[in-house]
Amino acid sequence: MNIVSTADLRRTYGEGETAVHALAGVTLEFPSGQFTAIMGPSGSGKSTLMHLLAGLDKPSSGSVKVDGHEIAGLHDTGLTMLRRERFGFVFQSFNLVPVLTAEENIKLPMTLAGREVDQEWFDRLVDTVGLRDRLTHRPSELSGGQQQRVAVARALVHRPAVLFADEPTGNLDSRSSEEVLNLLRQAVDEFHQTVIMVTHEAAAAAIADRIVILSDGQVVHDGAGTDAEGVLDLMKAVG
Amino acid sequence: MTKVALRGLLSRKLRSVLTGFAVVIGVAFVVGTLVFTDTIDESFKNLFERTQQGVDVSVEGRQAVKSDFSVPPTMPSDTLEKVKSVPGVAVAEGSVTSDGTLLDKQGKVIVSQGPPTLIVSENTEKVFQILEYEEGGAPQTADEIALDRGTAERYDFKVGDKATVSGRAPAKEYTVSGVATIGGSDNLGGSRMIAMTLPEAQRVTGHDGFDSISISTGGEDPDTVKAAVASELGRDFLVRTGEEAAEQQAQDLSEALGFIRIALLIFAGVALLVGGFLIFNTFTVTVAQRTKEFALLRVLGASRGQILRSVLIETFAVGLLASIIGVLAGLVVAPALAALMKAGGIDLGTTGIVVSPMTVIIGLVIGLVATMVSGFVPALRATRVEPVTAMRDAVTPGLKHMGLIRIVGSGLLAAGGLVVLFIGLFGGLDSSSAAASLIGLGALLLMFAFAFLAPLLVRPLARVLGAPMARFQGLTGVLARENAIRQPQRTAVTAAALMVGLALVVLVAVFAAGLKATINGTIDDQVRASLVVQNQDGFSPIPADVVRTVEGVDGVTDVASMRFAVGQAKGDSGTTAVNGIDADKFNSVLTLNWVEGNPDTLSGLTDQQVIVESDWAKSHDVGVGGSVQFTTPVGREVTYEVAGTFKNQAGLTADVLLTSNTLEQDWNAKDIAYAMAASDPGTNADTLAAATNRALQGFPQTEALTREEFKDNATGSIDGLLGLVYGLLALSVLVALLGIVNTLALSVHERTRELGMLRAVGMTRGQVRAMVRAESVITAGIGAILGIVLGVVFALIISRPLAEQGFVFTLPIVTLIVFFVLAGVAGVVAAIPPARRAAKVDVLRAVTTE
Ligand SMILES: Nc1ncnc2c1ncn2[C@@H]1O[C@H](COP(=O)(O)OP(=O)(O)OP(=O)(O)O)[C@@H](O)[C@H]1O
Ligand SMILES: [Mg+2]
Repeated sequence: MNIVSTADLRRTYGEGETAVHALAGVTLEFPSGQFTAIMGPSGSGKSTLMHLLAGLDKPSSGSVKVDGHEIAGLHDTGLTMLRRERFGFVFQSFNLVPVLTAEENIKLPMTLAGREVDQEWFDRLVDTVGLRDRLTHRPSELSGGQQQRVAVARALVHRPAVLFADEPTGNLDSRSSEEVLNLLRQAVDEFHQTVIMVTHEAAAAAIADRIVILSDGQVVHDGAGTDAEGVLDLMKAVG
Repeated sequence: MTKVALRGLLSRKLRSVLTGFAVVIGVAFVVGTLVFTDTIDESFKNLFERTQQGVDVSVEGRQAVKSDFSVPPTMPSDTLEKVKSVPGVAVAEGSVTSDGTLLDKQGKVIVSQGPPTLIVSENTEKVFQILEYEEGGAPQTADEIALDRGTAERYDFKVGDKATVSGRAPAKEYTVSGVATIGGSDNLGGSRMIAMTLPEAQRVTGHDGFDSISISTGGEDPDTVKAAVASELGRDFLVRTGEEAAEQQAQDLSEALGFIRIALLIFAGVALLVGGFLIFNTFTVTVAQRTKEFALLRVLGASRGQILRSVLIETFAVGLLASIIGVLAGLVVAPALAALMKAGGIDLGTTGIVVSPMTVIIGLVIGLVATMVSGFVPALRATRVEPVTAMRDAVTPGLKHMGLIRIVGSGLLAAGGLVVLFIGLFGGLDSSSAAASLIGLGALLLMFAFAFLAPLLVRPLARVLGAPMARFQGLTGVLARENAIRQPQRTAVTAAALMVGLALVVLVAVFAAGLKATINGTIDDQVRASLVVQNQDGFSPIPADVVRTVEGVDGVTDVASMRFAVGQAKGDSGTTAVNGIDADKFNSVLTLNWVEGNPDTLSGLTDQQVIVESDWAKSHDVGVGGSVQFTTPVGREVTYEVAGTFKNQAGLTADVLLTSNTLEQDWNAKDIAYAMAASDPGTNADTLAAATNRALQGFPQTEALTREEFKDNATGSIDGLLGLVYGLLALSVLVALLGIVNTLALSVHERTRELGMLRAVGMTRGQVRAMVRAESVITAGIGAILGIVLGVVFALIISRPLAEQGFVFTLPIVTLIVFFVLAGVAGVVAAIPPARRAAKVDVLRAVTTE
């Protein structure tokens, strides 16, 4: 079943002569339990696509469906609820609330929604991300990699339908990157989570089940995952 | 660099506007006050110039002892003949002026806390006639009066209508013969004027003679005539040229009303002080936010001096612009102040606006100085930014190492403040204004001590205040609390601004509560009378004949009256208020707190004896058996023997008690301040008061009050004043609220990414608003707690010297709780704009903004 799908999705910035077509007709389907990496050169529209998929931005035309329902027409509250219930987010940086501890940050989506945290699930997550002894620390007391792991745990705590990650390893060294990527992989394999990740690192994309490559706002490749070498070849081929 | 500074200013418009606003309000208040008081002065000057029209030389009884609002003694009738006999006097006419009472058409007394109702005699000599009749004409018979147009219009009197007037003589009904303007204006500075024929005016006012004599010289030099008249009449008379008289009268009144200017300027100063906190905070935040920018400039080669200059230029620009707007706004504030005073019962009847160049200069200078002083520390801080900061993540310096400095610093400030305060209170300073300045300075230092310490208190206070929010509001409450603690200094200064205004509000409230308790207690303890008969306005004198009327009321056993005068004790530079009492009956209406002496001392008091307050006796170095010397208002030198001493409480009596007879003879006190009546035991006070009021119908200006009513009356006037003070302090609180708005807006701006992220993970707009609101309430709550504590501390200290005089310190718990709750509500209101901004933060911003 498709959790998220788009049809002829377009997003244009500006008007007339100076208009930038960040997305120029993108049709994609994201089935449940799949790990998709979205790649492409800088300015190709990766972030724009992800923002539209996650309902953070509105398309100029075309549709985005979540669970088969069109989300383009939803108002702020509807979108907030959707994010709260169905989506998890990991950004490149600045993922955590500085005044809350790691534990509080992880539980944030549940607390905001006023829901009980499933303690068993929480414990499992914490063990998976390996932060048991850091739970009472505040973000400023955690390393960048640890912060991103907290962010992943937070993105999973409410068992979202889709986890969106925009360059989650962009700010990390290779070891920390690997930890975070492995976590995402685990989320798909063990928790049957759907993950859509934007990245421009071949090593990161290599972990995905499927690779979508954008160029100038259009899909130029959509195929099965491959190793880092393969990804680089793909990039070269379309670039 | 100047360009950088000014461009920085433009790019932060909102912040600049908010900062400037605090200055605008403070300056506007100062300018408004000056304009308002100048306008009062000017309109009185015009007024007296008009009333002296055609008068070349004027003669009055000399006041040997002058005090605020005191009037010259009436001159004997034969004075006029003496004046007329002086060569150079072409025309001379005597006239009478006195306070009187006018009843409106419904038969109710027109009571005013402001300008009085005046009974004047209409001049018959054409040169001295200043009334221009719009309708009808001058009163010709003893049954006619004329009214000023202002009064006639306000109370709907037309020519031919009946109007009732009373003075020292009982009420009488007159026919309105004319409605007049005075030198082109509707009334005399807001007062109500009743013009009568001279004999009728003399009869009604009981002024047996003339209050002033106007002289026209027919062309001869007024100064020559003035000298001639003065030498003919002798030292009991004050002879001035018309010009001198007008000037002097205006000046006297302006001095008497001087307290208004001072009081208003104090409030303006407080508003400016609060504004200073706001400016300080905004610039501090601005500098903190621009750390990277400054560091970059430093990397590029800007010197510390250049950075300092750039920030100071920015400060100057904000200050100048705000001061200019403030001066303009002050012109709007002036009439608003007049309206506020009027609402508070003080109608000064001014029109127009007087703006002196000095006012404008003062406004600009004050605004600029306040801005520059408040902005200097933040500017200095900007120069301390190290160039390397440009490469690093900016870290806000922690407070830990500051803790000790703060504790020691605020301890020193507080100690200094207390010392100054105590010198002011107990130093026995001769000049009361010096003492008041010291008290003010001490209070200011204490406030700064509190403000300096506040950052250390933010954490614990926010914990306490945030606890219920975290409890009931959940995560948003926790976040609000943590956000408030995040930059304790910022929260502290914001809260301190509120603290200043609130501390004064609390001080006044506690003081008022104490005064009320004191008055109530004193009346309960000391007043034995069942009735008090006084003027309806609560302070004007009433005719002495009232005593006989009240004595005739069934059930009344004894009536004792109290006269009032102001004299000068030998060796004093100031004046002393004295009371004249019906010594034989006084014991049955009032109990004195005897120190030396007993009720028999009082009942046996002779006309040559005096009873004085014990502290007064101490400061004048006399004891029982000794003698005291006074100069009376009519210039008599009198000596009395001290028969006893008492402790005064709540100013129920003056410090010096003489016999009623003495006061009438030696001190020219013809009227009584009030009378008290004792009744047969078992008489119902309400019934008795009703009966007395019926009996007093001839003197409509009087009212008989039961003891309870008297208490309400006395404490009620405190409430009126309290309302006025609250109104004026509300301004400072308003500025402080702006500070909260400003600080929150800045914080929201800083936390844009964080807010976006919170929104991304599912925080609703409502939750964002709730979070900002809760932070605002916590900040306001901290300010409220600090302010209430400080205010109570102030009240405790300042009321110390009054404790001796029976001041009862009372905590108005309910009022304080109300203040606290109001502060919270204010916090909610202040949060509206920043909360709205925060809720509008676009989720994308969090992800995309670098
Ligand atoms: N707010 C905006 N206003 C105007 N143009 C925009 C805006 N946001 C993005 N664009 C343009 O849209 C295009 C796609 O941008 P997008 O951020 O999606 O690229 P990206 O693939 O994520 O690039 P990168 O790898 O550098 O993050 C770019 O040409 C960009 O300049
Ligand atoms: Mg991008």
